[in-house]
Amino acid sequence: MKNLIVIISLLFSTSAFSFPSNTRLGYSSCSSCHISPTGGGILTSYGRDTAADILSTFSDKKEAQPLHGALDPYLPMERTIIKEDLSLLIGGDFRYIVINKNNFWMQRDVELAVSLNKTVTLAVSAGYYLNEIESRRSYLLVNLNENLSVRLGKFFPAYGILFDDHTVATRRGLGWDQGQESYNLEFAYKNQLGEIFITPTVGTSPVLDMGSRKGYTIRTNETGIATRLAGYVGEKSQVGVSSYYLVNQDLENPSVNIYYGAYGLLGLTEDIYLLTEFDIANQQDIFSTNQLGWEILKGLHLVGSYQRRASINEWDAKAQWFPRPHLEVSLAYNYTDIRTSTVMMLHYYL
Amino acid sequence: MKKFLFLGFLFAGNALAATYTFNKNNNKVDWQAVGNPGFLRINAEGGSAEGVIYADGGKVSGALTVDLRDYRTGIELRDEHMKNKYLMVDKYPKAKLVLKNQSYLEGKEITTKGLLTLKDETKPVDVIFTVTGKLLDAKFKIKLSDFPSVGIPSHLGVTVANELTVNVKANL
Repeated sequence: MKNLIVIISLLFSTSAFSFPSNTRLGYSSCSSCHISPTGGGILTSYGRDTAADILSTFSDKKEAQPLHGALDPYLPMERTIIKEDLSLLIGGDFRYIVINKNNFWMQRDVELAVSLNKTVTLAVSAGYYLNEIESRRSYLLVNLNENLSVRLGKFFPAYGILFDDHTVATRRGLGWDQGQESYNLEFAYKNQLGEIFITPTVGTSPVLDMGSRKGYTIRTNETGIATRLAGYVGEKSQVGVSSYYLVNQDLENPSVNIYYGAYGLLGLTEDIYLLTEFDIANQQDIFSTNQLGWEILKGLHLVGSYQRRASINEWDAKAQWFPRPHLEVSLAYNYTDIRTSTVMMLHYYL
Repeated sequence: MKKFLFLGFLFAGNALAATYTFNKNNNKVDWQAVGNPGFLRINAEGGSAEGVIYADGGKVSGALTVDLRDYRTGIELRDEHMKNKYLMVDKYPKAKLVLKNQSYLEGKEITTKGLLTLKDETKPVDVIFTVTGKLLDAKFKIKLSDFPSVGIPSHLGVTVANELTVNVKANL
């Protein structure tokens, strides 16, 4: 019965995006609330509980649990203990989008994390995209101690701000849109002063060759490295610099991508925050995302933003509301040099 | 997850006898802690010291208390755990710092010994302070392991680091 309940719960999707604006509440690093060292994705027990307390306008005591607590104690706020130190966390997301008069499912994901003594964690996601099931994010994470971790798998490398909107200039514009996760080996070090990530990558589509005379080999046209260095400033802010170097040795279209930039997650007050990132791509194009947000009451945000993608300027105004745990509604008006659009999103997270 | 206490101190820096009264309007006592994993920064505000410190002949003595019910960390659930589960403020609403014949010198950073009482335990703490005219700036560290009755706060896998820092600013 317990296994059946767990299987059923996997039908629900997982939050793949982070909320960097929570830096203003003292969450300078993502690791308190998320399994992933860079944030986003499956929530820790603490993150789930905190989401109800700080993110949502209204909530009941057990509402933040998977399925709103309906399957307690099988799916508690804490990790589901399988055996002694082996525990299970689940998550998931559904996002439905209406852009002008077009509507579609943007995301339908499930994520599962199995953790041994909270030291070694295997996280796997599966989602339904364009009539296919795809795993966009899967990794093995080893927490060597409270400062140092190593992660191997498929995920976005640490660069700049992991905005909760994948379309922003510094995500989509730089090639980190949804579905563009790469295969990486991440080294992360964090302490009270800041954090550093060093992430060698073999690109988005390496091939594991098990037939070579040398045994198993990885064939890829892309190799590179991403780095991100950040300092925690005061109680509410984080600033950092990032760099990214990627070589594509494709015979027909060889290329080299070099990005570098700076960012800030600035808690101006407890309710007002600024997320700002500025990047230069290949020493010629500027990409920048700047979001000024105001939480006018708990769970309700008004956000104004300015973005630049190479030569295109873009402005947005958005209202974002988390009425209860598991729910998010947003409405945005977007204006660029070449078009305007209205975007409504309905989001349910497990 | 959290705890609490604080204390204040103050002193004036001259050789003449003087009495310094702390009240809720002339000082602030805050404290900072770290939660792991993630180096979560916990900042508690809203408290202030009350009491009297006597300065005479280069020595200071006195007692200050802080009402632990005044503190807020920005997250209601965390405040509730801190006050009810760990500090038990209904039974132990105050923290207390006592100084006995401690030396000071105006304008200089001084380290002095105080006795801190949290719940029903009293332990020595090292207080670093500077007094310039009517302005006092002080800080000290508390090791939660020194106060077993408070314990090390933890909630759903996030545990507060053993040592936290208390800061005091006063204008007497």
